[in-house]
Amino acid sequence: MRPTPRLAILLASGFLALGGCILTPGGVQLLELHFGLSETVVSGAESLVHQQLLPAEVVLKKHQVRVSGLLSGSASQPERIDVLVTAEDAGNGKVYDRFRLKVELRPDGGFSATGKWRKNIRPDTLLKVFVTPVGGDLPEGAEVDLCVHMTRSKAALRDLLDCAPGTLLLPPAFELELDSVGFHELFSEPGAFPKDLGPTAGRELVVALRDVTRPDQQCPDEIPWDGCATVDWDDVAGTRNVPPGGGYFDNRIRVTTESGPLDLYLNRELGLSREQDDDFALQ
Amino acid sequence: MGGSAREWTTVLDENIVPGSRYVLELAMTKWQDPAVVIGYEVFVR
Repeated sequence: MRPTPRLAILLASGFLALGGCILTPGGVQLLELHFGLSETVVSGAESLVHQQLLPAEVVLKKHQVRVSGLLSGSASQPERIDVLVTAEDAGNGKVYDRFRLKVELRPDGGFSATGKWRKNIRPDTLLKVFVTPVGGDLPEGAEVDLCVHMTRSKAALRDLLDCAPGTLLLPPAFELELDSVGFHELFSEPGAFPKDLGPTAGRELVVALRDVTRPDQQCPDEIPWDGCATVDWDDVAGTRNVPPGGGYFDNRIRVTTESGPLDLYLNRELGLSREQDDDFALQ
Repeated sequence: MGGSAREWTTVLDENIVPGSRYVLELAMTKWQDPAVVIGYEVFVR
């Protein structure tokens, strides 16, 4: 698992059951917000494992915050970790809310704890999550898979599965240019196959995507300017988030087979393929 | 993509390790309001 700035914004599925979002003059107030990400703890001291700039349309009203995850890659793990969550003004770096969670580690390295914002979290806020081992050290390269759920519903929080993927929020782009949020938005979604999966050779692996916000939306061409969400395949060098030099996005799922890691790329003609979709002619 | 699911599939020629982790990496764009929620599923059938 590589350290990556590719951060994911997800909405927990319970958000949908609660009716979605509330439109406010300042933007969209989310009932639930879920960040799922993978980062690497690089030292035994306090490490910044996640930072996320909330999109301009996101407002959080004193949400409960659930931090859960998994520590791996450490032969002798610490007894517990301290998790510090801060909200900064993205403009001047001033911290205007923060809380610290003391988290016991389960034998498998899993952890979960709940805190709460005391203040409303405004748009354009930079969220940061720091992790500090307590009662032990972390060797260089130890990994933390982290999920941060924010919700206004304590009941929803109780029912929330740790690190449960399933939905992601795709913010709107207002300019198809270099730095517009929502344009070539990158997602890196961790998940796990069932422990009772059984043999899979000869069976079909499926990656399915759907716009659950607008089940009636018709998207014959799947191009951004017809109002549809699109999977992006490539763009010219220098455009937002386009891989340097190549121009093609990975759009892949990395799984672990009995013979090792396997990358399967979403391919417009071949389904899931060992070959990356790099056919510009299909644009 | 619209309301109906867009699927990408392949027939596996080896076994995925049960309980193992996966990472799904995507690049996506949504032009102008509203933000949308994209549901995704990864499964073997």
